[in-house]
Amino acid sequence: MIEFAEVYKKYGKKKAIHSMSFALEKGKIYGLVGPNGSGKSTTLKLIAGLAYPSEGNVTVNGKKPDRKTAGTVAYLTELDTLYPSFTPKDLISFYDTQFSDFDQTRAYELLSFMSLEKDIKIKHLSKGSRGRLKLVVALARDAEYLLLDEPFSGLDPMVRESIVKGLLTFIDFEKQTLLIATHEIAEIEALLDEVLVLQNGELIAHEEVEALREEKGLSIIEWMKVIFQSSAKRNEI
Amino acid sequence: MGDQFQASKPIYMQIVSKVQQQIIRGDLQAGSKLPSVREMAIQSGVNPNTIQRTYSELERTGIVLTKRGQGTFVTEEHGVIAALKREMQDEVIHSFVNSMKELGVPPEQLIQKVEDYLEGSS
Amino acid sequence: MTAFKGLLIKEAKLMRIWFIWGILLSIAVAAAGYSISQYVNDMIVFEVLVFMILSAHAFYLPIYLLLSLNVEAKTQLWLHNPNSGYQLFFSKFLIGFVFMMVSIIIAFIIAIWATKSDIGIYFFAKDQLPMFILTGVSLSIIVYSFYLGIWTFFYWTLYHSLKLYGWNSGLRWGILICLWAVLFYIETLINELPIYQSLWELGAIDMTSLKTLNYELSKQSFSAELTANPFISLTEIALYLILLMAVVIFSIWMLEKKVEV
Repeated sequence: MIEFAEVYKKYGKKKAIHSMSFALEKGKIYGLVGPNGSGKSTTLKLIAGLAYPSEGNVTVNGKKPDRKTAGTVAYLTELDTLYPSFTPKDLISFYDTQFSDFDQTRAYELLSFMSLEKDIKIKHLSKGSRGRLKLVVALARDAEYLLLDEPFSGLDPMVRESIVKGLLTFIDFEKQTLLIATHEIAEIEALLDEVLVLQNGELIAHEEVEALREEKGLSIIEWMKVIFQSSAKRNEI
Repeated sequence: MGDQFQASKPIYMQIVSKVQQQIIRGDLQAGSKLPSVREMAIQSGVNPNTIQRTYSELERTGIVLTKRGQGTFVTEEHGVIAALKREMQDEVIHSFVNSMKELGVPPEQLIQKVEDYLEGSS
Repeated sequence: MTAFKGLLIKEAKLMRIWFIWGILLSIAVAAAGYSISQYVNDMIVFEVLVFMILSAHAFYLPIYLLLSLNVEAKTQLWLHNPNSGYQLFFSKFLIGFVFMMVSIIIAFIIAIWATKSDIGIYFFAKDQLPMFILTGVSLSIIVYSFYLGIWTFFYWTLYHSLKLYGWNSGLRWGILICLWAVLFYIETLINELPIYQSLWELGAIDMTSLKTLNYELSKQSFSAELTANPFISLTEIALYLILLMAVVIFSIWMLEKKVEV
C-alpha cells in the first residue's frame, strides 16, 4: 500500500506538491493525470524515494521511501535515461546484477515482444525503440510497484498499442500495482481501475473509472473537462 | 485504443454485450471455452479487473458458467441462448419502434418502410 | 554476479572511450613534442611536454569523476538502485583509479625511455635522473590525484544536494567557492597551531638519509624544487587519511539523503 498524508513538496519557494493525501491499494492500476507541471513526476519520485517530502508523510508498505525503496519499486522516468554506448544486452546484464527481482529470461521475452534487437547500441535506436526498451527493463522486474512516468510521450500509435499490450501481458496483476502518470488519457482509459487528477500540485479528484461511467455517464476525458471548468470558475471568483 | 468504447456505458457492460452478440450469432458456440481473463484483457486492451467483472456479469445471466480450474464456458442449454437472443432482439425492436414513433412514423407504416428498405438495399 | 561487479562493468563500459582518448592524447602530445624538438633541434619541447603529461595525471581522477558523474547527473537515475551509495561511488572511484594507473604507467614508460635513451638533455639527460626519483614523483602525483578525486566527489555531491533548496547554479557555485575558501583558511590556521606543530614533529621521519629529495638536476636552469622538505610526518598522513574518510562518509550521506532526482 502506498500512502500520502498531507504531503507538501517545495523547491525553495516553488511549490511542487500541495497538501496531497491518498492511498493506493495493491493489485490495481492507477492513472495519475493532469496537465504538464501539475506534479505528476514529483509524486512518482516521492514514492520511489528519489525525492523527499518537505512536509507530511509518504509511506510505501508502511515505510518511508528512500533509495533502498528501489528494491520494491520499479520506476520508469520520462527522460532518456539509457546509457548511449550500451546495447540492450549490456543494459539487461547490468540490471540483472543490480535488482534481485530482475528476471533475465522475461527481459529477453519482452525484448522480442517489443521487436527490439539486443546488439544495437542505444544511441543508434529510434526514440520509439528507446521508449520501449525502458519499459523492457522496468517490466522485467517482479517489483511490487511499477511507476511509469509518461510511458507514451512522443511515441506513435502503433508503439503505444504495443506498450499497452506489453503491460497487460507481462504484469502480474495478483502481485503488482501499477501507477501510470500521463497526460494522454485516451490511451489508457480502459486500462485503469482508478484515476487521480492533479492540478497545480493538488489532488483535485480521485475516482473509479467504471463508477464515472455508471454514475455520471462520463469518460475520464469528459469528466476532466467538467472538473477543470468548475475549478477555473472557482478561481475566477 | 480507448475510443472503441462509448462513454455513456461502463466498459464491462459494453464487453458483456459484445460477448452476448458473439454467442447469439454463433461465433462462440454453445459449450465452447471463452478466453481466459488475461487473454481477453490483452485482446481488448482492457483492465483485467474489468474483464473479471464482465465474466461475473455474464455468469449471473446464466449465459456462461465457470468450471473450477478449467475456465469459463458458454452454456450448453440452448434454451438460455434462445431466450437471450429473443431478449436482445426485443430490445433492438423496442428502441427502433420508439425512435420511429418520435419521428412521427405511425406503427402501420413501419413494416412497409422496413420492407422497402430491405428491398432497396438488396 | 554480485551487484558491485555489475557496477564495475557498467562503469568501465561507460568510460572506456574516455580512457582510450586519454591515452591517445598522452601519446599524441609526446609524439608531437618529439617531432617539434627534432625540427627545432632542441629537446626542450619534448622534455617539458613529457613532464607535463606526467604531472597532468594529478588531475586525472578529478576529471574522470566529473565526466562519469555528469553522465549520471543528466538524469541522476543511477540513484534508482537498491545498492548502497558506497558501492555506487567506489565502483566509479575504483575504475577511475585503474584507468589512471594504466595511463600514468604509459606516461612513466615514455619518461623512462627518454632518460634511458640519448634523446634527453635537460630533465631526462641520460642516466642523470634516477629511476627512484621518477617513481617518487609519479607516486606523489597518484596520491595527489586520489586526494583531489575525493574532494571533487564531495563538491559535486554538495552542488547537487543544494538543488533541494531551489537555488540556481550560480548561487550554488558561489557557495562551493566560499566553502572552499573557508576550508582552506581553516587548514592554514590548524597548520599554525602549536599543538599541531608538535604533533607534526612527533610523527616526523627524516627522509634526507634516503637522498631522494635532495637530488639536484644536472642542468641548473631547470632544477626543480624537489628538496623543499626532507621530512614527512606520519601524523600529517594519518590526519589527512582521517579527513578523507570523513569527507567520503559525509559525501555518501549526502548522496543517500540529499541528492534528488
